[in-house]
Amino acid sequence: MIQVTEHAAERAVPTWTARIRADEKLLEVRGLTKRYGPGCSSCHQPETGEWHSSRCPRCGTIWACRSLDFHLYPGEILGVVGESGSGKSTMVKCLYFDEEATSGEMTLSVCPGDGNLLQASSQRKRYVRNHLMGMVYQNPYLGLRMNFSSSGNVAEKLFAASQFHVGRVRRRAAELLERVEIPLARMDEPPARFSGGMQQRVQISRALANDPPILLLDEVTTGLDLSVQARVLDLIRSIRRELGVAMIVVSHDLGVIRMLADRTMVMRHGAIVEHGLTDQILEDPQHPYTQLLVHSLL
Amino acid sequence: MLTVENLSKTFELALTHRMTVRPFDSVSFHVPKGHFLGIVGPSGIGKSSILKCIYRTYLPTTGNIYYESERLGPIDLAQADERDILLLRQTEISYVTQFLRVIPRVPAVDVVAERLLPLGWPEDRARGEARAMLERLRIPPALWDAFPATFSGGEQQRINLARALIVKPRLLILDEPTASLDPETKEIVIGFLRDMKREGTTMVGVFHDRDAMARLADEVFDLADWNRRRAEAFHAYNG
Amino acid sequence: MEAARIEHTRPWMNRPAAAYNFAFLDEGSKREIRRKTLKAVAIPGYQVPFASRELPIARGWGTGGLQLTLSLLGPNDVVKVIDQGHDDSVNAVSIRRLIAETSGAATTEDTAKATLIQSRHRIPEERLRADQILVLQVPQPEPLRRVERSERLTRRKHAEMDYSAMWLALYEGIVRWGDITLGADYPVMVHGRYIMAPTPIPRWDNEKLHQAEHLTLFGAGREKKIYAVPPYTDVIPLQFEDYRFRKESFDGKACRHCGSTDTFLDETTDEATGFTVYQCSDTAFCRKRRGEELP
Repeated sequence: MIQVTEHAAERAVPTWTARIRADEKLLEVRGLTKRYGPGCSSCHQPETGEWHSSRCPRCGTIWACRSLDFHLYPGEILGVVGESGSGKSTMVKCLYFDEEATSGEMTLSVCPGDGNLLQASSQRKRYVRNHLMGMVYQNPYLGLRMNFSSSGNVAEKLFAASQFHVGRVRRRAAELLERVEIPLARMDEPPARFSGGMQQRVQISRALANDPPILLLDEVTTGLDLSVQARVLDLIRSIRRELGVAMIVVSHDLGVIRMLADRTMVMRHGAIVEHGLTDQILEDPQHPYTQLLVHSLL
Repeated sequence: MLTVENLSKTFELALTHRMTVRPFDSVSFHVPKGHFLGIVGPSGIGKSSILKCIYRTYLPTTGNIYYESERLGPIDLAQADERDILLLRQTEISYVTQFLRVIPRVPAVDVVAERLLPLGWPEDRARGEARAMLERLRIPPALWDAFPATFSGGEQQRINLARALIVKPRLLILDEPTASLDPETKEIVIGFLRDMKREGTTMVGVFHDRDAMARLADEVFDLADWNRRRAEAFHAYNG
Repeated sequence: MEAARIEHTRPWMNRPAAAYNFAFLDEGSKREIRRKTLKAVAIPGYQVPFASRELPIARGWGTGGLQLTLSLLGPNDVVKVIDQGHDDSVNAVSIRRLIAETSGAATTEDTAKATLIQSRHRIPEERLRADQILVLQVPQPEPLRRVERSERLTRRKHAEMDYSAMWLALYEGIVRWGDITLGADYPVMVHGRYIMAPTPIPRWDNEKLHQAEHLTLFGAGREKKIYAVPPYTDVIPLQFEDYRFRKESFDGKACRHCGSTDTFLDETTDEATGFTVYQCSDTAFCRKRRGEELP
């Protein structure tokens, strides 16, 4: 009995859980724009009209994201699909503040006082990155310290949340690594010694360390063997189910999107060309580009 | 329970050259609670498209699909918010096709039990319920922990049925659910569906099998006949 | 001053000290260094960049500390220079002579008599007073360098108090070796805000910075940084709740000269017997304890 209460006290319930309402948008993004270059008079209204690439033909400015509007409800999975260069990775990197958005608004229902987080102080952004969002990168080298222990990779996130008891931190790391099926005997091995699928799983456990309500997954299964890919996809689904984490899943692979996403948006040349229920996007695509994409599916 | 008014669907395809396909136009029908409406007509006429519009896999071009939801009250499925559609799919509306698309390498019992988890079932109870459902649908126990991708067409179809039926939907949409079943299993499925109907489940379905249709349907909507009568009315009106 | 009249083997060094500006550096340079020092004192533990000057000794040999000393020096100061506890190592002697020759300031080996103490890798055993300033020479001012190579990113981490990587380094030691494995230059949290490198002083000396009466200044000549711990400032070594910071232990050991058991001891080999012996690292303190009069 004592052990149970001790355990309960150890794992402080994140402060945001009380503030989440299932029927309220958890994340809302308006007009998210990312531009590389100065822009010119012919491309300064990028949201209008169809483009043939994300590059302005006159001034060469790249509009990686053109005025994106979307939202995410608690516990739902939003798929983002598009070919490489469509701006989908830049979009999630802007959400995670890895890239600085040129303009736009982003609000989280769990921190209403902050207003537009894209304009928040870097300390505030760091808080959001550590407590409210987890990121899993396509390239595990971006998300992990390859030569530190796997438990340390998870622990680093807990240190960022001011947990400085090694025993408790290790217990939490073990719990998370076990959740993603990393054997406990290997928790102190560096990810550099792991296979690609295991590295992605360590990344996922690290991203979950502080129980964030939102997980961003950027091409997580790209480059993995098909059998390994299936296990990672299943893991992601069970995490959503058990923890109620909302996710944005970016992938160029419609198969991955079909398996995971409730709703899907299709990006091309930095803009959202279409969004809807995932099965509707796949079976009744409205935009010619989506039709092309769907009909290219093997 | 379900009222379809002036439902039309137009596909605009723009792959090679612009192409417009209109499988059906201005369809209306009504299904009372606990009734089964069978849609008949020659293949390719657009029966499945109507079903997909109701499930919102297809976006209706015009028209309304009124459904009396337990959780959301009266709602127009043609216009409803995607969030609401997702909620209804989780809790009230199930759709069965002949094709099974599930995540690879997940055992059959989990594929079925998975449907109950969002409804708050504990995992072990959901698995128990799933096993009972697989048993009722005569899936051999040896297959319960195998991956459905390796199953025969008939077995896969029964997994699909199990996934749809386990949540006890209020509205069941059936697209050829008995197409590749052996006669014995077909009997079981028909019996099962009749039981559900008696318990109040409303159903809309397309059956290739005239016999199955006759035994399940309370009303029949003949799409070919509907189209012909509309054409006649159109010509009569235009003199 | 006596110290300024030493006969040098190299004739150019016999020029009178008056040929240089007082304390070698020109007044403009001193003013810049003092301004940066004031800023460092105002923001405890924060590394203030400064324009490190050329000196007659090479960078990496104490030029940061020396520039601080020279900019602070007045004609009435009494200077002590120590190198890892010794007043008489070549480096300490050279620096002391340079200071004395270019300023005429008095020098001493007695910690209590000094007003300005420049040191490398040690803090004297004698408790320093409010009227004394300790200048420490710094090889690597950036405590985060061991976990982050980029200066841009370390500065950002300091700005955002993003210290999880530093904690991770401590954690990795515990995972690998069962305990915190950092030795000298053990990172400290200053005034609850900045993690600071205390320079490679032994862990033994860390507590001498905490709530000290004296001002400690840190100068890194090669890395061009000045930072400070003002008097009565919290200086807390990083430690976990269940893995605490521990200073070196000399249980059962004593100085072979003065018998001290409460000072930081150096391990050495007795030339005659070949046995391992221990002696005070702070040689001036040891001699004083034995009743010697220090110059």
